[in-house]
Amino acid sequence: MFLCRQFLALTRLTIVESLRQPLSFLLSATATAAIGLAPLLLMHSFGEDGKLVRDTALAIHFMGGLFLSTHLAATCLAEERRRGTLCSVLSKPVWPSVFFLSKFAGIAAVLACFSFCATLAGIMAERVSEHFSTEQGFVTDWRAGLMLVSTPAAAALLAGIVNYRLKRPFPSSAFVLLIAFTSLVALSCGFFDRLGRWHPFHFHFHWAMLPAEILVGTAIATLAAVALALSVRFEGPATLSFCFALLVAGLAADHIAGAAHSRPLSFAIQCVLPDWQQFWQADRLNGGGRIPPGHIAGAVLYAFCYTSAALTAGSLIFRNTEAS
Amino acid sequence: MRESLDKPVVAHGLTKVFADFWNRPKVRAVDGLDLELRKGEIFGLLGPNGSGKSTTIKMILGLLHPTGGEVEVFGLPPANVRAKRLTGYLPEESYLYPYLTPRETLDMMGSIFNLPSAERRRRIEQLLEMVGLSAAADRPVGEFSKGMARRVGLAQALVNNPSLVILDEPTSGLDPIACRHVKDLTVALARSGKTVLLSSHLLADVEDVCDRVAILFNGRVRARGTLTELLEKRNIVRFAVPDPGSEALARISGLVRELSGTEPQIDHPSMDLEDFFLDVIAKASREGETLSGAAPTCAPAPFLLE
Repeated sequence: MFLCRQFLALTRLTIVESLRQPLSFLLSATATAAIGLAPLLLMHSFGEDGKLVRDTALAIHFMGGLFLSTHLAATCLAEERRRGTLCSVLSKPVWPSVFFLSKFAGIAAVLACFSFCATLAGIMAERVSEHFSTEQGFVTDWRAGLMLVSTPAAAALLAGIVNYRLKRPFPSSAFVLLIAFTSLVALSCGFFDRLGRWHPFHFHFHWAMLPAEILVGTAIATLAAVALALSVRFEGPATLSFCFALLVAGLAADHIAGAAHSRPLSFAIQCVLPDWQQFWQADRLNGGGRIPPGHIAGAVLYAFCYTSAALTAGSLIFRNTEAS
Repeated sequence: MRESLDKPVVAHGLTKVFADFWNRPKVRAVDGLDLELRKGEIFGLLGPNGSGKSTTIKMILGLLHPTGGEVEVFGLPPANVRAKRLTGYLPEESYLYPYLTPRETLDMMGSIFNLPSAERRRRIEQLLEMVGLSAAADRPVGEFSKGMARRVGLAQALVNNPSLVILDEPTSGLDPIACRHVKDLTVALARSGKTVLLSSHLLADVEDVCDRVAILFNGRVRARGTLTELLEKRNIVRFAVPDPGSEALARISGLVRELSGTEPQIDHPSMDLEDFFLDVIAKASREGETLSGAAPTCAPAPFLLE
């Protein structure tokens, strides 16, 4: 019970700290706005309604999330060390492993919020994109699109007012309001269709995108675990560089493993390099396709194992680290 | 293994050697230090910069691993969480989360000690009152001056009502009034049975409050003992009397010269600058002048004396 409370207190601290970093809101707002803008700017359909927008939304989610996850994870421990707050907290009755894991839990919670916004924005963007209607030909849902694009600005505006009137911190208020407004916009889109006709509540969303977005979110959390483990020993820029190298190597994991001449070496490479291809399933959605549940379960299990291994290694190293 | 409250800190042959990237010895920060703190005393760790004071403290807190020797806190290894539950630490540079307010900082620290929320709230209010930050309790610490951050650091060190209080340069960045209050607080904590380990290079601070001191240089103890043992000049006697007039003084001097064969020194004792400064401020306060920023610190939080 004591450990649990301590874990929750430290997780809460990490969430508060991460949300109060302006970058968390900036990246989330930029990703939401960029995903929202995509269907309004991209008019090509490549032979299929919403395909390009789906790919763009997933790519923005993936790249924005990767940057946010590595930034939060890399700076989290390094900042604690640099500021000396690591000394302050570890001089209290805190188990180093609990501290380390709570850092990951806090970062994962913030990334979940980011992914929530990006996922909703992605699903809405797909709906906004040009679709063929038998009544009006190719139609773009401008109403929903403009609502989605204006969400970050509205969140920032209200957060500014809240900051002015109630002196609440701007970045965290804006982040929370962004989540709330994106959800509200998604809900309100349920009351009108692509042609702008009002009718009883019904989502006109392409829900097949949801598993693809979940897989992207899982990849982001996996990289956060690796970044956090690396940041036990390295400073922020070094961790970011390692993560970037791991990202690139992971994208070519199959090729690298295939080039290895011995089976054990090939197996070792496959174990060490994260296989990002498992999490990028945008192509499966083409032509009304769906991601098989078996693949989703396998990818989530793979992410869980990889994350657990990274966190275990990081935790063991952190336990023996001196907080000087 | 059970904790022993009578032995706050016992160290034998404590040594710390910092290594370089290749694990070659680089700096011998602490070298064979023996230390024993007694319950309820204020122990001063003195020394110039780089003499090993902070390294010693970090080994006592379990933040650094000794290269040699051993240290026990309340009879337990210093990294043991049961020992840490009884310890409060004010680091050299306050080390606070800049995005958190003092209230959030104390709440978070209280949560780490598993204090029930009602008790946590009670202690937080008392501590904020004690360090004079009640009015600034909801501003982010990152906006604070060094002195105000120091006060938050002091409050967080005491949130668990520790039996062993470790203060690393506690008066650094504080104005003279706050310095005096911190010294008074240190004495009050010791009177209530807590052990205080105070590290400083401000000799006047140490002299005012410490029962015993150890002077470190280059990682080794060069002198240790009570202040009386270390500072008293046993071959010189001083007696003070209200000014008896020049004639009486001449006669007393003559008598001393005749009996001891030495020339006595006669002067007027002077007030120290700290007392003089506090008198001036107290006078200004009585005339209705007020301070902006942090309020003056107050008496120790009641829960610390329970």
